[in-house]
Amino acid sequence: MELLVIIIKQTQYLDDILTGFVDIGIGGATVVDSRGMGQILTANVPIFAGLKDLMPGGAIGNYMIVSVIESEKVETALQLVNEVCGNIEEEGAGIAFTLPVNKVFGLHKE
Amino acid sequence: MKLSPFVEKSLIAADLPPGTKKELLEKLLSLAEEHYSLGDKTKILKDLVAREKQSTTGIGCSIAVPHTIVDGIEKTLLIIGSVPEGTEFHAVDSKPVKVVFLLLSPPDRTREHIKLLARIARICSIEELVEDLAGAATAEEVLERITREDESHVG
Repeated sequence: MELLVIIIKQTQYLDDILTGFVDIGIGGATVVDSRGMGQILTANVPIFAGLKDLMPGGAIGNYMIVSVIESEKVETALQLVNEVCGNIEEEGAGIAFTLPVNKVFGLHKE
Repeated sequence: MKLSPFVEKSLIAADLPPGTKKELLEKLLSLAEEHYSLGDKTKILKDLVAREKQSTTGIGCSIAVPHTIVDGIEKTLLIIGSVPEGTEFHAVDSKPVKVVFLLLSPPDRTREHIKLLARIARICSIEELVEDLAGAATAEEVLERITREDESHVG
């Protein structure tokens, strides 16, 4: 099992990613309204105010999607993210990564 | 999830004329009834109409996905109708609907039902695909286009 974490700035992609999750057999995920470092710095630290355009994702909030998924679904899930977001590698677009999960409780298999 | 295993040539009605939402649903149900036992067709239609009243299944981009769970059918049925001229379906984007995916699932296949809805929603965001399906003159063309999309899509 792996923990998939996706952080996206393009809020319009959220629905497509979650719909895609259902399609590829990922039965659940948690979505958190989140803020990036750039957004906090430009909003809270006066020296950075006015630098929104220079900070990756500085102007807007983002979504963090987390899901514990089967290891064999990781590649498909990442492919899905790229398909939906176009190019997540673009600076400030978002980030996706996975972490190994040692133990899981409360996750029901299909 | 692949969509093509659920698509049957005999359950595709290409080149339908425009009509009311109810007429279109009736036509597609009648097509399904020619090939499968549906049980109480009137109840199915009533359930579909009730679902539409709850919120339209015209999800935008010229697509509608009316759907309901049906007691007594032996398997999930996907009935596809194309209306090249477009028809009023009270879609969320107020545009006429050109392709209708009517999904009927037995009560023990609800997970599959949800996955299929997700699949349809995903592939229907592809404008070119919707245009191809709407313009398909035959059931074979619809089936071939969906199969082709299945091969290239993630999932």
